[in-house]
Amino acid sequence: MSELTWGVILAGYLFLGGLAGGSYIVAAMVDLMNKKKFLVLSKSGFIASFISIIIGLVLLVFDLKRFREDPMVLLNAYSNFPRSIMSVGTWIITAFTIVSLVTLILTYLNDNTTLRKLVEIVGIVLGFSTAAYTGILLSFSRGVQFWQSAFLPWLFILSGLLTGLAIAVILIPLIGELMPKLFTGFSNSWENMIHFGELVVFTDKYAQSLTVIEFIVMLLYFLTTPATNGIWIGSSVTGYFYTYILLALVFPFAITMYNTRLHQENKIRFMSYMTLAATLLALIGGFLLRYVVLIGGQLI
Amino acid sequence: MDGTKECIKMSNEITRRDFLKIAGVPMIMAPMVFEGVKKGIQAPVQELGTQKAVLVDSRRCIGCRGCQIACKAHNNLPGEKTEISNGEYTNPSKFSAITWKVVHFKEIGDYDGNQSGTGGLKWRMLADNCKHCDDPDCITVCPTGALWKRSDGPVLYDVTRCIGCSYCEMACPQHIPNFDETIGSIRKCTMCYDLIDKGLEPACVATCPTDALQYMTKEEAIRLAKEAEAEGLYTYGTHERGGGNFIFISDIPFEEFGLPDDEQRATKQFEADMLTRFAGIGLLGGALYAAANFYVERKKAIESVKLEEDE
Repeated sequence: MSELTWGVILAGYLFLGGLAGGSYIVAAMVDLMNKKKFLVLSKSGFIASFISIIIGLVLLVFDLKRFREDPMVLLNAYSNFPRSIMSVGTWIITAFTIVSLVTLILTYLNDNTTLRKLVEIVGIVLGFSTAAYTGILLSFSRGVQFWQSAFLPWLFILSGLLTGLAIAVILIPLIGELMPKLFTGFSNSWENMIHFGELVVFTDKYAQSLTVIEFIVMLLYFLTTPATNGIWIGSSVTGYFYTYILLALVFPFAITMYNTRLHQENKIRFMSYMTLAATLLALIGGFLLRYVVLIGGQLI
Repeated sequence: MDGTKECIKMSNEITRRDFLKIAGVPMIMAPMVFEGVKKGIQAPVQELGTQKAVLVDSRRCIGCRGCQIACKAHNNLPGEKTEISNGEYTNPSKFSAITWKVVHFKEIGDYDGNQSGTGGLKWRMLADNCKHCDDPDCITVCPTGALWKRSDGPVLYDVTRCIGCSYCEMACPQHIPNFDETIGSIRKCTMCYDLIDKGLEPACVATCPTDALQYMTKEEAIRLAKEAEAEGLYTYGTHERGGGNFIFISDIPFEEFGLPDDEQRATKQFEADMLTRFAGIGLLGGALYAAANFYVERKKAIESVKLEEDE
């Protein structure tokens, strides 16, 4: 095996696949539960999901070594279904991308019908499958023992949900500032800091739960997979591994805890900045997780 | 508690319950979908009688590397820069798109108890390549169906179907298929199917001066391997990864040559086991989360009632 057959670009794709699935699930949950007060989160989540999966697909396609020579050959990836998990994944991601786009259109049209809810339920299953697939793809590689764990797909799913929630939250003020007319609700939310503060408090509860669960699953994965022993000390990705723990789990968790206090003290603006920092750290940390697992599996 | 906080508290309570309900659907459904996909897919059954095999006897190998050269020459593969790594003489040290045959050199010192004290250095060599497994991981994972196994043994590939995802390389325990930029496809040992079709032996077999590599029916190769096992020798390739069309005999364990473990599960069985564990973790984790959530909510409700009573 070449030292790095699957490199940074593929790590980016794995990250964006999880992010797309996670942000879709977050967005659809908010809408399906009819949380009208926080529907803005649903809208930003659907936008994040669609953009993420498109960028992820672009990265994936450009990383395929045959693409530049003969783009049409990529259609072959649909053919070995259902025998090859990668072919299954190709179908899942294609369906998810279509459903993600349809959801976005229905949301943009403000079509508050049963159709949209049905599409969202299908999208949740496909979003979950997309996030799970990024881990299952690795866990099925019998040539790399580092990846052979059923905890790995769950770790990627949880990270996808956490980073999906993070990007859905942080897109609210960003889109509100940049494209206030695109979707009603964004600009109002940004102008109304109190509303945004309530939304942050609402999402922080879930972020805290997800962070704790991801931490536990992360430990279970790295402690129960014998080939991952080298991660703890002295390997080429050890530094990235601890950086992931700090950026994706420790710092965001501490900030969400601190946010509760800031909200009680009504320091909403400062809380928003802290939330911005937490979400950015969580996103960088989410990417580092894929990097550590993907590269570690090939080098350790 | 002010109105805003109350609203958030209420919304959280409702949301958690709803969350469990809605989250439960994909959590249960997705593994079932994957599990369903796996059912009904069986590894291809090969007719033993029609298959050919190469028997590789490590004890007869003198390390001349003639098989390596013959492989390069017949398949028109360029050479690689010499690397002596870790003090070993195995060179090239690993498989690549242009190295389909690796001769492992293993210093075994006084491995044999009868020879101890002579001070002589002993060697064992093993000519290694694609095992042409009966149930190959590379074929199972390939999304395009570019790889397949011929009924007489060779695992072959269609260079026009390969998309360069390298999943076969990751799935193969020895990372034998490798992508070749020059032809835009993975490449690996083909068991010289073109020579076989002409009634000839694979190039490596034909060039071996000591008969360390012998071409025969698979049935015969397995019979000889079983005889070797009965003599206390080690064999490889009769059952590992479903068995294959290169069968090895050695008087030292194959781990010494760095060959992979003796995983005997079919590829689909391995995948089904992984998905079952994945679903199990999800169900157990979901149940634990629901129980923890129920406990926390109940505790909150009791505290809330207590507060109201105090007031």
